[in-house]
Amino acid sequence: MTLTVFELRRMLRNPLIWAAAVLAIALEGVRAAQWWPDLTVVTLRAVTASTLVAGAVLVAANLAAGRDRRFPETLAALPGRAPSRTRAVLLAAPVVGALAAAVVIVPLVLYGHLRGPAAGSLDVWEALNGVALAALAATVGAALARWTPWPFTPLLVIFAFLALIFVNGLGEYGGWALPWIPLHDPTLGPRPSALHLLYLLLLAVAIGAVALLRHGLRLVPAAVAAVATAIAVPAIAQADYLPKPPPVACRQLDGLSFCPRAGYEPWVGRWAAALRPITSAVPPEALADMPALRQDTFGGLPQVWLTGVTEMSVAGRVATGVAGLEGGPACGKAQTVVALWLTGLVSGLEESAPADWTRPPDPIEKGPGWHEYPLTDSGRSSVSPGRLPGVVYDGADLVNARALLADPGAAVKVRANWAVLTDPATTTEQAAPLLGIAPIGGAKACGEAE
Amino acid sequence: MEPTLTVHDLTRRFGRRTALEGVSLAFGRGVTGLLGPNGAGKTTLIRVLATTLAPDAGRVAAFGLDPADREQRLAIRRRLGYLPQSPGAYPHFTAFELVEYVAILKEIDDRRARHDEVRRVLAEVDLGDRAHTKVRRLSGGMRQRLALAQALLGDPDLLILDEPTVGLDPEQRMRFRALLSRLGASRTVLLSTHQTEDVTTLCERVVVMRTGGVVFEGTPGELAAQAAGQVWLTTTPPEGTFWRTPDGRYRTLGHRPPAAVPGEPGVEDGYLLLLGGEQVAA
Amino acid sequence: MNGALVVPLGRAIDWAPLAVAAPLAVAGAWLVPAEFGVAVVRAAGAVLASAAAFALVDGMAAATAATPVPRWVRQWARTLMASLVAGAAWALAWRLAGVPGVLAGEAVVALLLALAGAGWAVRHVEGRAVALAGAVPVLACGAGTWATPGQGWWLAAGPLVLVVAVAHRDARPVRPSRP
Ligand SMILES: Nc1ncnc2c1ncn2[C@@H]1O[C@H](COP(=O)(O)OP(=O)(O)OP(=O)(O)O)[C@@H](O)[C@H]1O
Ligand SMILES: [Mg+2]
Repeated sequence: MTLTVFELRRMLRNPLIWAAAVLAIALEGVRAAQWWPDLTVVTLRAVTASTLVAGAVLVAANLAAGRDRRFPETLAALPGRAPSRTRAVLLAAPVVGALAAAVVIVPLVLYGHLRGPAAGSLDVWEALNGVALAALAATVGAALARWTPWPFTPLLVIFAFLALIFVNGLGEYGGWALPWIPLHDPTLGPRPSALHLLYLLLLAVAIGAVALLRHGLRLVPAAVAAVATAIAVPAIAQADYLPKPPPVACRQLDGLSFCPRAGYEPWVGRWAAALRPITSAVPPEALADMPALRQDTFGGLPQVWLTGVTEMSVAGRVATGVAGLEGGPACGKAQTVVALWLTGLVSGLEESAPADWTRPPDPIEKGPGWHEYPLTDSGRSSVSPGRLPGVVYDGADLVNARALLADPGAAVKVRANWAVLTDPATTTEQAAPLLGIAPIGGAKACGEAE
Repeated sequence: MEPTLTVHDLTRRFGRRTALEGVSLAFGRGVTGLLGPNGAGKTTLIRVLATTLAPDAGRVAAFGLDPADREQRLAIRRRLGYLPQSPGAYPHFTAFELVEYVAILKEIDDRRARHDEVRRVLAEVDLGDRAHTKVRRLSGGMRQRLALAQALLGDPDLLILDEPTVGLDPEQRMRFRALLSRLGASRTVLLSTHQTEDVTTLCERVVVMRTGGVVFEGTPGELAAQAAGQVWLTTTPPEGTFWRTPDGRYRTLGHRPPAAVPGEPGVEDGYLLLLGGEQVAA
Repeated sequence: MNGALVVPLGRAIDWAPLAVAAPLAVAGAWLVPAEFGVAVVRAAGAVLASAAAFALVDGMAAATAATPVPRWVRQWARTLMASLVAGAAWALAWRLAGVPGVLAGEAVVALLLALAGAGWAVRHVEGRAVALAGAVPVLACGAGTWATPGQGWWLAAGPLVLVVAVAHRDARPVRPSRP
């Protein structure tokens, strides 16, 4: 017992663990600040960040349990036997690891919660997965110290874990038997987090028992390892995503119809707020024709919200819809200028028209005037040319829209002449007196580089 | 005679702890012993002298050269043999390989000359027959001798040895003393030790350090003389610290106990009185 | 530098971590499906770098601190030998995986990060486990920047070589030589 308290105190003062905790909070905090909080994602990301602490705890526990390998003579002559030292590390390290992981997860989740309006739901079991992961890492560290002689093996385990996280982020290989699945596809339904937590805890117990087995084949640790494994394996084998919650009703706001996915109702207000420059500029009858905005891949509302970027994708969709644009070449039309102007009300117009309207071979090298919108929180994104989905315009349209944007009375003029301006037959040239701008014409054919 | 090694007003701190404070010393040809309790600053001084640690303040000169200067430090190192307190070793090397490795680092580039030199120093420390034993199979004292052999490579003009006699058996200790007194005839040797016997039998000069400062500098005779009139022998156990002599009497230092006769002062007496100075004077 | 130094230094290096990491990296690149090639090669870079860092641990640092052949020669020789082995293993993994060469910059930086971390640590602390410090900057940087492979990594290589050089300096720093 005294030895356990001693190890506990040493671990609590371990700079590696706390440095990892600070780094995890800082890195994930900075990243999280750029996204509108979705508590489901926030929790997953916080747990993933806390695995940095788990790695540090793994190394710390490994060094602590391997201490008698580094000072064999001194410790071998002590009355306290090696098994009791292993046991002390096995009791102390998981506690400290769990504590340090909680120190990372709790503030990150609270931050998302307080910043609200947060979508998604806080799954406490999911958050506890991170705590259990740190505890599991501690027992793995101790077991490695007892079964493998080099200080390098804990690093290998850490790198293997990292490779799993990055390569196999959705758990395509291994499924719930993996220690952690960092990414989540909301279309699959809620994750079996409670069952996975149980699995991690049983795994920690089993591995701790395996560490003790290094000191001889004893009945108790052997039985504990066998029982824990016997429960954990069948339990995790039948783990699956939980049933999806029922869909929620669409909601009318500012004349638009928003249809969020279950859990994303709190974002309706934010979407409406982001679109208010448009909804307040156009006549109400224009909004009546706008189809409902749905939260699916082609429905206009994104799954994730990167602040300052995602607004543009929603605005582009709504502007195109209310202006009655159909897609395809639309250079020189009054409609196009109005639609571009509407998007400019949301996020400015300082960009050039895409030179190339066909998807380049390497999507990472997107040209000027292209927009990249995140699809998931993990780096998958869609890239699209221009700001009006499917609509081709040119630099002249942008110049004309910018001229309109510079006019403080533009909204009044647009509302007054809405029907004419959004008639597909009206050219910018014809609409110029109505808009009060001196329009320029495009130099090339629509869709060709200038 | 020009001193080989001088330090002036040397100060070195480790964080808030002062390991050396205002140390000024000069070492010439012959063997000088460095005494002092644990933590006195002996190793710190030795590391500064051996050009492996920079002082915070003060000047060091060896052969008139300044170790703070790259070229001059190299010149010093070419003439230096150094045995640190924990030399370390590669356990899977043989004794010969280990010493040869250091010989290469000491720029003994000719292969044959190097092998001869390695054999010579191994013989000096009586490890000639263990040359091809792996270091991990050597005993603790043998490893200490092996470390000493490295310091002797290239017949250096300046030998700096930190606790070289730790772990040596009496025979090897005698051998070591003979070796060092031979070397000391023409070279400068500085060794730290906790064995006052080493000092008595081997050193021309002795320096005693305490808490980062020098508290005595002189010959072993002068150190012993510090205890003149303060060594007492009694037939009954006196108060305070004492120890039994082989003839059954009790020996004590400081104030004269009742019915005591004066004893012959030794280096150890002088050393102990010097360090326990305050209590004895009180 | 004396060529005779290469053999004993090569033997003194703790090769065990590289002996484990190199086959793993190569086997990983060979066996894992092509879609994961990039990830495996990137992970191999990090693992090999952390393993190479173990080469900087010198059990005889104290005994050889005052020899005329300076510390930086020994530490750079260790660095080069370990880097060669790690680099060869990485190159083999890279070929087997058949992924773009853009990843090389990142692998070099991972190696330098590990060498800088371990080089700094062995300067101050004794013992074999100290080399774990090499993995710390690799993991810390990897955690922050995993999503961005590219040529930009090469920019970090120059400063990192300087950091490694500073870590490999003599135990006792010197003033510049006076003319
Ligand atoms: N690397 C270091 N870091 C911090 N403190 C140190 C370091 N080396 C020495 N010290 C401190 O400096 C003081 C002098 O230490 P030093 O090793 O010089 O003593 P010593 O006289 O050689 O002792 P011993 O007889 O035990 O070898 C001690 O208080 C020690 O704690
Ligand atoms: Mg010492």
